[in-house]
Amino acid sequence: MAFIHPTAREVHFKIVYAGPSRGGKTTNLLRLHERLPAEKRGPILSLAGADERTLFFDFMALHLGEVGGLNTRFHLYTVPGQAEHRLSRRAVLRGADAVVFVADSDPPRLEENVWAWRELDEPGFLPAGPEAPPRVVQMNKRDLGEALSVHLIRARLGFPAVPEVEAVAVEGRGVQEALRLACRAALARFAPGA
Amino acid sequence: MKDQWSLLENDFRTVERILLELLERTQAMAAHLVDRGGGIVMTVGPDVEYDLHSFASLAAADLAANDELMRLFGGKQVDGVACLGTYRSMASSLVADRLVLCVVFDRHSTLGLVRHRMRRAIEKLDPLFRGLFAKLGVAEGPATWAAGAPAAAESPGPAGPEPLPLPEPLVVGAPAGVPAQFGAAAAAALDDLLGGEPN
Repeated sequence: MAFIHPTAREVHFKIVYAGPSRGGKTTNLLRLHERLPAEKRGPILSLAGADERTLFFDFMALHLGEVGGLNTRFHLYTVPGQAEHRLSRRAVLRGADAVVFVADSDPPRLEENVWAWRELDEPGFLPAGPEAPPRVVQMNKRDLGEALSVHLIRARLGFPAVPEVEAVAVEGRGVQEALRLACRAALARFAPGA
Repeated sequence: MKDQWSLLENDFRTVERILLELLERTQAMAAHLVDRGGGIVMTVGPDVEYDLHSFASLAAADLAANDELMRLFGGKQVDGVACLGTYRSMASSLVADRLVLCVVFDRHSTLGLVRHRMRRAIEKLDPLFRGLFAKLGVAEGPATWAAGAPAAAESPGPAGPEPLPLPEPLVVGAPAGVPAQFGAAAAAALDDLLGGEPN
């Protein structure tokens, strides 16, 4: 949930990247870190295991600067995608203002996409109803020769009216756009007119 | 059930006073109040050289991880965590189920003293925040939510302990306090920063 510091006039939003393991969540953050101006982003904090896979989360702050009298920041988190890190995912998802779901377009990963998407709706993960944070689906790895069709991913995930972005995160394609849509969705919930 | 609430200026000053007193009595370096979602709520003490936002995300994650460990052991929730280093250490404790009070200290203080004074400070902070939550109709903390936890849906991975719905994170400030032009201006700034992605 968005958070305002009353004296510093700061507002913070929490954006969480979720999705199946090895889908490209951490890659999204790495490309953003490379591409954003240094004064606009903080360091990447990565709690990874020995195999470089996310163990708890990756974190990076995005500083939008002073906007309309408020110093505005977006805190970007990734969750670990592996099934065994379920409790860590639940902890990191807490308080998300928006979620970027990074779907893997590799055909063998279809069921893992479905499982990861459904988990978000399980008790204790994301709130339901009007308090549910907005989601953006980033369909990643669109450069694969036999990538799943967008239609199929959409049908299997069964999401209604959720913004979609096709991406090749490793090349940085669709990375900024997915974040932009998620941040705007978080803003729209917080401040009408966004 | 409301999920947003305001920390008014008077409450803010009261909390700040309590934290300053805690610093003075422990000779600690800094005290930070962090919400369980990983946002920094308040900090007192001299300017610190570490990145506060990274600090807040790690401190909240640290407590969350220890909390889950405690549940694995069959406990209810962890009340505090200590992190001891060669030059600097940190003690953190839960406040009103939604906040984490973190005190960073060095050789001028001791963990025992810090923990003792933190308990005193929390005795004051806890009712203050709980009163605020009650006044504003914000959801109760774990004492309530643990009791009525719905069962988890099936998942292919190891389930671990039964997932419990967690309390909503702290929100300081209400949308009513947001300048009217904020939404449109922030959206435009986002488009400037993130739009025009190279193909």
